[in-house]
Amino acid sequence: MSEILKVTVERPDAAVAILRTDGYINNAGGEEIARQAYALMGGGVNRLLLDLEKTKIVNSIGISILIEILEKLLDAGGRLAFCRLTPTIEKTFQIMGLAQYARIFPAPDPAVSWLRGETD
Amino acid sequence: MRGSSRLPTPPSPGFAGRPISPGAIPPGADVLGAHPRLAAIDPATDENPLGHVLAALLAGSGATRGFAVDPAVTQRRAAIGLTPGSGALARLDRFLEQTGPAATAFPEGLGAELLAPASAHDARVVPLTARDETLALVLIDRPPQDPVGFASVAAHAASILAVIRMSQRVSRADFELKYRVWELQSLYDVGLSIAGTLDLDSLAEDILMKSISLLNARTGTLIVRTTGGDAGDGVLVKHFGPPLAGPEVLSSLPDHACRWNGRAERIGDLASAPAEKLLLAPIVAEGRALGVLLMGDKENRAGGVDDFSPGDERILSLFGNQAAIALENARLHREAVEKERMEREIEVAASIQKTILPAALPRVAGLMLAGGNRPTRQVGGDYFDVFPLPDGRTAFCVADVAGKGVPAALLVSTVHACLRILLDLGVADLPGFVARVHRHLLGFSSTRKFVTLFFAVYDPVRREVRYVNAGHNPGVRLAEGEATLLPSSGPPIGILPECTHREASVSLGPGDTLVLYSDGITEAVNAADEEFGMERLIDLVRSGQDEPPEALSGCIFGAVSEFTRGVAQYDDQTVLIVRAC
Repeated sequence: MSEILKVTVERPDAAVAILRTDGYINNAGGEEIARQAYALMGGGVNRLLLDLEKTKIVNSIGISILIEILEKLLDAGGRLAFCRLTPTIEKTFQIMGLAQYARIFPAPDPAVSWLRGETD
Repeated sequence: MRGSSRLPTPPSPGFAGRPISPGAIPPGADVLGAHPRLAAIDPATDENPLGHVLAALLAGSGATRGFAVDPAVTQRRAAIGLTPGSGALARLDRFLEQTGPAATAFPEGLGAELLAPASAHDARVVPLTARDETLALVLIDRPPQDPVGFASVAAHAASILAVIRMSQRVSRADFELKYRVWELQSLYDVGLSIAGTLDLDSLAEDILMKSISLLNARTGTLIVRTTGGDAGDGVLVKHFGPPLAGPEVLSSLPDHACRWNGRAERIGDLASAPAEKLLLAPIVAEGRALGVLLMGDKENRAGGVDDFSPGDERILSLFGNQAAIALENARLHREAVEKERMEREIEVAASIQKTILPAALPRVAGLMLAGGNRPTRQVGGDYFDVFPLPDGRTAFCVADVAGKGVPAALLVSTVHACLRILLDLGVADLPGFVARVHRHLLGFSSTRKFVTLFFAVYDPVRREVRYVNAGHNPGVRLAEGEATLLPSSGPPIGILPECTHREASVSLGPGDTLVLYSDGITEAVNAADEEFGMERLIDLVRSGQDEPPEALSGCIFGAVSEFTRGVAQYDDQTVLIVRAC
């Protein structure tokens, strides 16, 4: 895993976007996620899934940026979901409060269903 | 997501305010209209309300142009009716960098620069303060038309900013608290991992990643000497990002954690580590430096690099301690596994040896026989046996194979089988017989496979013992009170491709005694590291010449025990006594 984060965006439909990360979610990594997320929100997409399958490490600055993204999404009436977190990152998100406002899923499909409002 | 349900906010530099259109400001002072503008600010969501505050102050003063800045977070600023030039903003930044949040006014001329090209002749600076803390410096282009009413608007604005400042501090404190919980949880998780696995590789990865994560480091390196566990012996190296050091750093480690927030003080190869700032924690177990944890460059939210702090040093040292415990666990585990393996091997070897050594010696006409073997804890390779031959003669031997444990026991088994088979084929020529045993052992696959062998055949008709001593301790013959040694005539068998031995013979008349033994008897040592020796053995044989062989055997073993007095011995002890009658 690289210390430089890469983000790829997939659009399963017009309302939902999946951001797949590969690397360290630190300041630079978080900013890259925020840049992609805000671009999507600017285009009217406010239901985002962050797929962290290839991310094994996150620091507090990365978490703070994820919190900012989450706040903006919630203020805009959107939703944020995470999937395929390592046990360490999932526990970290729970401790840092992210899991209270975003949903965590083991796999992308149920996360996308939740973002579409198909499941509770 | 409002009020108390808002997510905790980490330390943030905030965002630069944008100019607000002057059309939003009504002409003339509107003190009553200014207060609702302030009341509309939501302290829970407006992180940078300076634009709204400035608009309210302009409305309350009757001014049309203004500028506001938070001296504590200088990126938070707002301008209405003007666009300050970059030169003025740069001067503002330098000024606030020098004065910090304590600034209560702009320096000479800066107000005019910020307001330019508008006239600065009547400009006023309004510090908004609470509890001696400047929350904002506001610059308006003219004096307030209603000073008393404006003062109430300014006080209202200051209270709003104070609430927002407090809200942000509470939010930061909440974030910090959660961060401490995360820190403790990480240390706890590493502790659990250490207890649950001996996979040093994954543990090292876990410790490195958690250290980098908690310290906001950009890169990290972990290097440890391994002496056990799945990683085996050697040096285990883990990097995240460009390597901060190589294994050679282990040769010059400090014995305590170090922070190098500049390059000048770094030691050795760390001077060239690819990081502006460096944090090091040695991994120490029982006073020995086993490795090192290195962190490179602690990043901040603004994209820069902060100094590593004493708190960071403490955290990294804790992770270093965890790594030391993991290494120590691995070493102890390896020792336990090795001990268990040796004990199993000893059990197997003892079992093999027990099945090979004679449980009871055969009854042979014309001879009185006695023998015994006392294995040491490590189980060696002593062997003795007696074989009545079809022609009335009796063959007997004592052997000592090289090595300990299962390999030695297997070699004893081979010697035993070999002798049995070859004796069935007849034994006329003793050197030829021993040579055949030797050739058989040469094919044995073990690396350390030599055997010392005293092989003899007693002829009851001739009352004679013929023997070959292949590298074994000299036998002791006692006849008419005189002891004679029966020395070796060649090297041990199974070691050299070619070796020959000479046959010798001695008479063994009625009452004469032949004592064969292994070096575990004569080389038994006491606490003073003295050997039992030949003289004591010969004295025992001489003094016991009238005792039955069984009693003499017991006497020899007893004397050796008395001599060693519980000192651990590393060789089997074997005695075989043959007396003619």
